[in-house]
Amino acid sequence: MIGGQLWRIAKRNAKRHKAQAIAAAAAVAVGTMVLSASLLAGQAAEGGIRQVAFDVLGQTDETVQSEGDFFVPEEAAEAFTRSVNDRRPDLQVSPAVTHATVARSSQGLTEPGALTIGYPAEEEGFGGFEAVEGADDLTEGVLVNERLADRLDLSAGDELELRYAPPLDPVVPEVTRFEGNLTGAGSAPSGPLDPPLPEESSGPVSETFTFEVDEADERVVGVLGWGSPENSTDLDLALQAPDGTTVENTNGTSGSPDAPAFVNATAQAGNWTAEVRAEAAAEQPFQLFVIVLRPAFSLEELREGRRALADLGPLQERLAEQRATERETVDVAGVVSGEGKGGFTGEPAVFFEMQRLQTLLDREDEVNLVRVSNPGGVREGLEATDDVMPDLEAALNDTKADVDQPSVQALSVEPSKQAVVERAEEAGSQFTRFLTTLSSFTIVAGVLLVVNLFTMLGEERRVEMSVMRALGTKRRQLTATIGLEGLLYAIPGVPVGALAGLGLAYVLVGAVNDFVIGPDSLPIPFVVDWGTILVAAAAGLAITMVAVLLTGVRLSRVNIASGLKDRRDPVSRDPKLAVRATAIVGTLAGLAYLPTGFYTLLVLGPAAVIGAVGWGLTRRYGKRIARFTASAPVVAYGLWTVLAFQDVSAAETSYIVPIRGVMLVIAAVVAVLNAPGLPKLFKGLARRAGRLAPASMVALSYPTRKQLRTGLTASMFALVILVLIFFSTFFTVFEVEPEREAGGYDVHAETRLPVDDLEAWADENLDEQPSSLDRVASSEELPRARIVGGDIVEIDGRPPEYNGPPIDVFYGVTPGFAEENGYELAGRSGTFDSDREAYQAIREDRSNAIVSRVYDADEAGRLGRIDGGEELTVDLGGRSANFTVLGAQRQQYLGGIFVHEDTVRELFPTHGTSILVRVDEGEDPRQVARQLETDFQDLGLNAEDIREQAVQTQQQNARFYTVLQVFLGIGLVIGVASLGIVTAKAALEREQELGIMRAMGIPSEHVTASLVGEALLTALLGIIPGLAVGVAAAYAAFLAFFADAGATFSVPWTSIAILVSISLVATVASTIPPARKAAEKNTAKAVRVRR
Amino acid sequence: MTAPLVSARGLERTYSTEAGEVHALRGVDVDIDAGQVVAILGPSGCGKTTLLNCLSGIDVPTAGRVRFDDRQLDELADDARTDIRSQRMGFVFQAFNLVQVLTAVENVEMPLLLDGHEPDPTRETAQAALDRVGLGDRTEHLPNQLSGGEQQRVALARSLVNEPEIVWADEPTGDLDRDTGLRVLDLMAELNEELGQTYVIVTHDDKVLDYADRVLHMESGKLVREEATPG
Repeated sequence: MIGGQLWRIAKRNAKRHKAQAIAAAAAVAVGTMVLSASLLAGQAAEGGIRQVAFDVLGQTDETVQSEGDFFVPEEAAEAFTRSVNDRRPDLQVSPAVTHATVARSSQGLTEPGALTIGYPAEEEGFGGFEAVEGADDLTEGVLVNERLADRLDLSAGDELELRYAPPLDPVVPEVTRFEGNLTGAGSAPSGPLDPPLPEESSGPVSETFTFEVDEADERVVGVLGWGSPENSTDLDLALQAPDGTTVENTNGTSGSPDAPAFVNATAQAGNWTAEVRAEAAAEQPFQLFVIVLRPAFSLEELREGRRALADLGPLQERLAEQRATERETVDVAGVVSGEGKGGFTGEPAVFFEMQRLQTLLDREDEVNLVRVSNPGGVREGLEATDDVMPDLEAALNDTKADVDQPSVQALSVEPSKQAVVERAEEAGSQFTRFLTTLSSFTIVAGVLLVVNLFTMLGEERRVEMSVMRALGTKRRQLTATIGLEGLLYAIPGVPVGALAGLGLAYVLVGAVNDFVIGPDSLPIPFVVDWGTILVAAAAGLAITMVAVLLTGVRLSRVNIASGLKDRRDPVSRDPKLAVRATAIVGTLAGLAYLPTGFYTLLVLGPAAVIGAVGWGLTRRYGKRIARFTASAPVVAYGLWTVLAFQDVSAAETSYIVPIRGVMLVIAAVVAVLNAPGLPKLFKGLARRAGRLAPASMVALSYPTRKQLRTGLTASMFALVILVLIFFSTFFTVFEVEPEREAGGYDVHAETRLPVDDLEAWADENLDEQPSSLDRVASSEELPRARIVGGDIVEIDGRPPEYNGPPIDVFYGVTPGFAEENGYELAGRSGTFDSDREAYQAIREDRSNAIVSRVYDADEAGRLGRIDGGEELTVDLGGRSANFTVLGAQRQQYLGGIFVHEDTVRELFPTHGTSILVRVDEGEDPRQVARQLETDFQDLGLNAEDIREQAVQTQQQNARFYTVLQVFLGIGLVIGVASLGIVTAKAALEREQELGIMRAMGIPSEHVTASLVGEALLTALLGIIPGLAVGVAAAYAAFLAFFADAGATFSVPWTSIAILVSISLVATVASTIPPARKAAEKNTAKAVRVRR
Repeated sequence: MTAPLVSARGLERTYSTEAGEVHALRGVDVDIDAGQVVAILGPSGCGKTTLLNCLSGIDVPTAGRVRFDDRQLDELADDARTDIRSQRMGFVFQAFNLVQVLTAVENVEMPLLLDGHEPDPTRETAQAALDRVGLGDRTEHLPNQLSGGEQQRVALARSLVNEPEIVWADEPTGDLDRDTGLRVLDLMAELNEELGQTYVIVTHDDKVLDYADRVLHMESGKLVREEATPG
C-alpha cells in the first residue's frame, strides 16, 4: 500500500512544481534527442552508402576483372560462364566492356568523367534499363543515363561526341643492340668493322640488320644514335615488316644521343629488317636499338622489361608512347534511369551494345569485365555472396587453366557489392561513434541538470522528507518516491526526445548533404528506423533513471533531526574511510591497466588516488584547500594523459574521450570554485562597485558558497563549452593553406586522356593555337591513374586511415615536376638534405615514392606517422607493388602517391593526366583555368585555380564544423535553461532575503542585477574552466598527434568570443524574467515569507 | 511643538485573497516622535506588521496618508521610498534575515555601501557597529555559524550602522529564547539612549513593555489602546 502512497506523493510533487517538471522533462528530452540523432544520422550514413551500392550495382553481386581493366578474349568469359554454370546453375553470368571517355554534347557541354559501357544486347538476370525518355533497348542505339543527360543537357535524338584513347595493354620491351659504321661495307651486330674503311666514299651507303618478331608482340621501335659525338653526318633508319611495308624516319640523326632517329611501327610476326643509311661512306660509327614491345600483365614482367630499358639511358624517354585520341559521334536513342543497369559504377555513362563498343575500341571479341548475379533481388543477392565466392574462384581457376593467356591470368573475382556494403557499415559505425562521442557531452550535461533539479528539490523538501523519515518512511522508500517522480518526468521527456532526435538527425543529414557533400555527389538518403529510435529512448530512460535514483539515494540520507528544524546538517562525518577507499580503488584501477591494457583505467585510477590525497587534507586545511588540492592536480594529470596516451584504440577513444572530458571538467570547475583567494577577490571587486556593491556582493558570493548547485550548473556549461572549444580549436589544425596547396603552381587541370605535352597536343589536334596557352608560363603534365576500389594501399603494413571515398591515385613524377615543384615534405627520409633531393630520388630509383598528407595518418588520425624509409604496398589483386616512402607532403589537394612517371604508365595503360600550370605574371589563374577548359574541350579538361579550390575546401570544412558546432551547441540550451531554472529556484528560496534587501533600500533593479549577475558568474565559472581545459586539451592533442607533421596550432579566438557572447547573452535572457519577477515582488509580503 | 517624525492618518490596507478581501488595517491614526521607543502589540494577524510596513514605506496603504519627517510616503514612487529606507531607516526582522552567503561584517556594511560610501572606511564602521553589539570577534563568521541571538545582534548592527533616524523592528525576539531576547532588547534600549534613535518594535512579546516609551495595542486592524510605560 505504501507503494500507492509513494506514487501519490510523487505525482503531487510533480504537479506542484510545474516549471521544474517541465525543465526536468526537457533535460531528459534533449539528452535523448542528441542520442537518438547521433544513432539515426550514423545509420543514415550507413544506409546511404549501402543504398548507393544497391543503386550502382543493381543485380550485379560479384565481378571478375583485372586491375587496370585489361582486356581478355571473349572465349575466356565464355569458359568462365560455362564453368560457373556447371557448379552453380542458379547464377547468372554476363560479360561487359567498360572504358573511360570524354563526352561532349552538340551544345558544347563536356563531361570529362564519362564511361562507355558495353552490355550484350540481350542477357538474363541483370534486369533491364528503365527508360526516362526515348528507347530503353540497346538494339535501338546508344543510351545515356540520367546523370550524363543532366550534365550535358541531353535528350533522345541528340548527337553526342565521344573522345577516348584506345585501350592499350601494358607492354614490356625486349631490347636488342646493334652497332655499325657506315664505311661502305655491311657489318655484323657484333661491333665496329676492322679495319676501318676510307674516310669518304662516293654515293649512298647502308647497313641492314634482321630480327624476329613474335605473334604476341605489339609494336616495334627502332632507335638510332651516333656511336661517337664527333660525327655529324645525317643517318636515316627504316624498318621493314615481313609483309614488305616500310616505316622510315625522315629527319635523320643530329649527331647527339639525345636526338636519335626514331621509328615506331605496329608489330607483325616474322622476320624484320632494319636498314641504316647515309649519303656517303665515312668513319661514322652508330648504335641501333631495336625494341620490341610485348604485352605483359604481371608486375614481374613489367619490372624485367623496365630493367632492360634502364640500359638505354636517356633514350628510354623516347619510348613513352604518344597515344592519339579518337573521336566518335553517336546518336542518343534514349535516356535511362541512373540506377541498376543504368547506374553501373555510379558514373555518368553511355551504354552501347557490346559488339559495337568492341568495334569502336578496336577490341573485337574481347571484354574486360564479367558480372555475376546471385539468385534473388538486388538486396537478397548479397546474402549469397559468401556461399558463391568459392565456386566463382574455382571457376576462374578453371578458366585460367583453359585459356592460357597473360591477361586472363591477371583476372580476379571481387565480391563487389559485399565490399561496398562492408565499407558502408564501417563508415556508418565510424560516423555513429563520432557523433555519439560528441553527443555524450550533451547527454552528461542533461544528466547533470536532472541531478541538479533533484538536488534543489531535495533541499526544498528537506523538512518534508525529514518528517516522512521521522514518521517511519524508510530510506529506500524515499528513494523510490524520488525515482517515481523522475519517472514521471521521463515519461514525456524520453519519447519527445527520441522523436525530436528524428528531426535533428534529418537536419544533420540534410546539412551534411547541403554543406559538405555538395550537389555534385550522391546525397545521403535519410532513413527512419523505429528500432533505433526505440533503442535511443530506452537508453535515455535508463540514463535518466540511474541519475535520478543515485540522487535519490543521496537525498534520502537526510539528517532527520536537523532536517526537521530546517537547519544545516551537523558537521560532516570524518571522510577518512571514504578517502582510503577511494585511494585503494584508484590504485587497483590503475594497476588493472597492466593486464587489460585499457587506458581508461590508467586515466581514472591515478586521478582517483590524486583526488583522495587532496580530500584527505580536509581536516587539517579545511574544505576549500582540500578540494582545490584534490582537483587541480587531477586537471593537470588528465591533460597529461591526452599527451601521453597516444596508442588508444578507436573503440576505446569513443568512451575515453567523454569520460576524461567529464573528469577534466568537474575537476576544473571544483578547482576554480575553490581557488585560493577567489571569494576574497570577488568580494573585493564587488565592494568597489559603488551603490551596486551590496547587490554585487550577494551576486558574487552565492556561486562560491553554494558549491554543489553552482558546480553542477557550471559543469553543464563547462562540458558543452569544452567540447565546442576543443573541436573548434582542434579543427584549426586542418585549415587549408592555399600557398601550401599550390606548391608554386597556379592551375590544376585534369583529363582522362593521356597527354604528354599540352602544347604539342594542341599542335597536333587543334586547328589553331589556343589563346589560353599564350597566358601560360609553363605546364607540367603528370600521368595520373586512379585505382578503383580503394583500400589497396598499405604503409608500414597498415592501411592509411582517412575518411571519405577511396583516393588511391598515382601521379607520375616527371623531370620538370621533380625539379620545380614546391610541395613541402614532412617526415622526410633522413638520407636527403632537401625536399628537392627526395623528389629527384624518385626519378633516379623507381622503387621510391612520396605520398600526400592523406596517407600520413594512423588509426587514431594522428599525422606524421610516416618516417622516411617505410614501405608502401599497393595490392593489385593477387599481386603487389612495393615502394619506399621518402616522405609525406603537407599538401592534400592532390591526394595520392607520387612515383616515377613510367611506373604509372606501366601499371595503368589507360591513365589520364594531371596538368600543373603556372600562369604568366599578372594573369588571373581562375580566368586562365576557364579559358583552358574552353580551349581543350576535346580533352574534357577540367581546370581549377588551385588556391581558389583550397579556399573553397576551407569554407566547406568550416561549414561542416559549423554543422557539428550547432549539433554540439544544443547542449548549451540545457546549460542556459538550467541557469534560468536555478535562478527561478534561487529567487523562490530566497524570497524573504530578497524582500529584506528591498526593505533595506536596495532598488529592485539592483536585486534583478544581483540575480542575473549570480547566473552570469555561474555561467562564467563553467565557461572559463571549459574554455581553458578545451584549449589545453586541444593543444595537448595537437602536440600528441600533429606537431610532428609540421602542422600549425592556433586558437580561434573570434569563434570563441562569439560562442562565449552567445552563452552569456542567452544566460542573461533566460535569467532576467525570473530575476525581475523576484525583485518586483511585494516587499511587505516577501519579508514575511517563511520556508 | 516639534512635529512627529512619523505621522499616519486614516490608514487602510486591504488584501485580495482567494477567500475574499482581507482588511489588515482599518483606519489607523498614529504619530511617532523622534527618539521614542514605540511598541506595537497585538495578537497574531491583527495587522501589526502591516502597519509597520506601511509606516516604513515598505508597503503602500490602500487609503490614508503616511508622512515621514517632511516626506509624504504614500505619494512617493517606489524608488524614492527605497532611497528613504536606505538612507534614513534601519530594519530588524524576526528571522534575522541576514544574507546567508555574506559574513557578519559584510552583512553589516551593506547599508553603507548602498549609500555609496567608500569600501575601506565602510569596513571600519561596520566593524565598529559589530563591536558595539558585542560581536567584534565574530566579524568573519557566516550567519549559519552564529547563534540566533548573535544573528539578531548582527541584524541590529546592520540596522544602525548608517545611523538611521528610525529603526523598525518586526518581532525581533520572535525566534529567540527568553534570555537572548532580553539581551537583544537591552541592546536596543542602550542604543536608543546613546544615539537617540527612534525604535518602532512590532511584537506580541509582553517583555517589550519594559523597554517602550509608548505601547500601541492593535486588534483587528485598529489601534484600540495606547499606554505610556515607564521604559
